[in-house]
Amino acid sequence: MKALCYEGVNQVAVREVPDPRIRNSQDVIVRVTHSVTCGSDLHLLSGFVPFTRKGDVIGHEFLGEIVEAGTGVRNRRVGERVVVCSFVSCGRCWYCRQGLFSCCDNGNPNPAITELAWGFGAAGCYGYSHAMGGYAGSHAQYVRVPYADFGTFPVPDGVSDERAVFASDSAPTGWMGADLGGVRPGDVVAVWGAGAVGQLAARSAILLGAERVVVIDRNDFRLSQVEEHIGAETLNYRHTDVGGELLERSGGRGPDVCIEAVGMESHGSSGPEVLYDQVKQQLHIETNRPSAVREAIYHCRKGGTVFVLGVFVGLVDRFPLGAVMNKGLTVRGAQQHGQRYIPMLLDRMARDELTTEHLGTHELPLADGARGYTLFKQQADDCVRTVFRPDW
Amino acid sequence: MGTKRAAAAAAAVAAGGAGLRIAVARKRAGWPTRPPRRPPEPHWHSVTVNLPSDRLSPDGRLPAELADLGDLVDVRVRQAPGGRGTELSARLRDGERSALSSAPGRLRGSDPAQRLRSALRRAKQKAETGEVLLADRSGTGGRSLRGLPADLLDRHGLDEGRL
Repeated sequence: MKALCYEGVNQVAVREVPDPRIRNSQDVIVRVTHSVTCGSDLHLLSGFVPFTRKGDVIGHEFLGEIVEAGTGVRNRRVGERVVVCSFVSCGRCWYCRQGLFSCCDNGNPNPAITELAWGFGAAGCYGYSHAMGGYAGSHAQYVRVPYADFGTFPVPDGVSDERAVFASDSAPTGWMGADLGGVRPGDVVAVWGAGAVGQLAARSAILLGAERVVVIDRNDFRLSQVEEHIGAETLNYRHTDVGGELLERSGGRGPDVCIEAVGMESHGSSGPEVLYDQVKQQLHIETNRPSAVREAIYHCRKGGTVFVLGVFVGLVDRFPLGAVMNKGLTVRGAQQHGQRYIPMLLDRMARDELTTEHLGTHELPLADGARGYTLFKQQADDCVRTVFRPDW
Repeated sequence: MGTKRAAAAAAAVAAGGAGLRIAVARKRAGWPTRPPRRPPEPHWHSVTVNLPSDRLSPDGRLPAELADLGDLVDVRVRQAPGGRGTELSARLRDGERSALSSAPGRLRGSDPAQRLRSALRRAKQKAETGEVLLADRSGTGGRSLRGLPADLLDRHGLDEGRL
């Protein structure tokens, strides 16, 4: 089959790779019809995610049709149109039973490195390095999906593929930030990052009853999408004093919940600090750039919550622990617990409460994979997300 | 410069002599001395399985993955607190070698601690999910120096780590 493979730093190419096959009885094989680029792929392509090897198939946010099912699959059948959670979780360990699916004990067949790096291992993820399980990614014609009874979700009739595909990762990630960030009616919520995850975190905060939601970014097109499709307010940090605006819009209190949806290659708004981080990151003295996290912590109200949705893998520098401690903040973060939210999100999509198709600004055949990532990385041609169509 | 060196050497000799005198005096006075160094107790490796103990180990029978290790290990099964299931622990009867001395065996995949870790993880997975999850082995990558860390991880991802 054809698949989009990692070929080295900032290089991808479509290659012929072996077809996946059922390896465990609880696996299904999905014929991919839609597979989306994700901001976290850029960290991988930039070389900041170790244990990625040339020839690995990338991509983790996808939708398709089940074409083969293992003998142990009970609740899915061949022919179903399903969205697949980007994280591989068993559904039966203690963490899964608590709803902490991305902390699954069994979903990563290579837990050694993440255990050593983080103390304990996380679940597996499609197309996201051998440290996250070495699973082949979704930018391919077919994907093997383990624990299919727990990781695949039938798409309701009436929800288009173009909408449902974002229930694989962006929508549950965004919802989780608002939900576990503790957004309540009357809250003021600030979201850093107007990519797909940031937009859907903002929409989730609105649906959870937030009084005011403000999305911060530097890209005017993305911010116009926020205003048009999400219904949140916007701030462009290139032209605005973000701190002053947030104070004004929250009656001087600061946002109750701050959601960071940027990740380890943040550009940030304050000049010298950005340069400092970039130099240290290139020298591998600091592995991740956390400008947006710093800002979220700084601007969050006393006793408020900061939720880190953006992907970080290693160490950050100049972390404002003093602000966290003295303001009594709660700082949380997680990879997405999609299995907990996807059925509810698909229902909301069916009721048009959650619309996502505007995020897929570019649809391309898989053969144009390299161009799709160039558009996405450079945010060229107002690209928010590229959707690959392996069936084209 | 030479005078300084001589002074430093004299100070070192004097300090050493004083230390020796103190040690002899402590011994004569019957002060407790440091106990002889003993090899550390073998370390228990543990997983918590999200099942009650009678399902993990019916009639006291060990999961097959650990039973297969036979006399190599001691095994302990006990209830985890707070409804978290059952703690399944094992340790090597003959103890473990240091990280340095075990390195060649670990690279070859023949270190007993690797067998123990792998057995614990497989026993937990099998008990909780019914099978041991197998990794994907697709992609186009051939062997290369840059791919070596990922290759090593694929080979030892289950038998290394903090467990």
